[in-house]
Amino acid sequence: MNLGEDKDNLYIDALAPGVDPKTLDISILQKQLTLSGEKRETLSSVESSAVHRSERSAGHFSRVIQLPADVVPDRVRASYQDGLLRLTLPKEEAAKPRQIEVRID
Amino acid sequence: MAEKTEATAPPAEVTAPAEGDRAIATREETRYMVPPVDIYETADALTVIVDLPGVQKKDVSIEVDQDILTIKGSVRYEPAGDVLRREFGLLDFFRQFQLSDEVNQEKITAKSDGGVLTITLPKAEKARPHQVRIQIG
Repeated sequence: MNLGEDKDNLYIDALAPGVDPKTLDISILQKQLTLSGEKRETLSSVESSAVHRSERSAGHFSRVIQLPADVVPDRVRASYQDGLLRLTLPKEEAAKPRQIEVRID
Repeated sequence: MAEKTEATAPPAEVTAPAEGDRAIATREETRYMVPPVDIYETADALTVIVDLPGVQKKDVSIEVDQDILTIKGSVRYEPAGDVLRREFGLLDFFRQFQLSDEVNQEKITAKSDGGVLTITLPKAEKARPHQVRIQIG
């Protein structure tokens, strides 16, 4: 997973080709994000003797990632296209950088 | 996704040239990534399934030339925001396979869904298993 940020949001990108979008689950507790889902099986219905190569991952996956800032779970946006999952997680107001004015007396 | 290793000799029907590292250098300027595949065989066809995350259907190219099947996928990916952690980058994908004369090259079909490309290579008539009845005199 790739993690990025700007002053308003955190961004998470994950490679998830062949995942059934109905199985995608994103949950956030404080600063911990758990992403899980089910990758569609293609070889399970095939006899093992008929398999020439089996390099792709399959089945259930789960990743936990520590977020560097508090986010607002209700405003998280997710898109899944062509096997790439992209999350935009708006930061809590308190987590946004504040400009501090320096007064020179 | 696991690193691809050539543990056993490739089967006669579909072989791949030795690829070495995950990112291979070809004669062109760009470096490529080798996508993982599943390949299985039924009585009628060979099926090749390729993971191409981040590649739109219009950016996938499949070509057959002189018995070589070439799969290419071009990617346009920019990570959002300032990068805090970068576990993957996305280069263009490239992989080639040698086709045996078992495959009917005219009838190859493909579909793409959710970043997964499925290529069906029907076998030529003569390659399909046929029942042969032998009369005993």
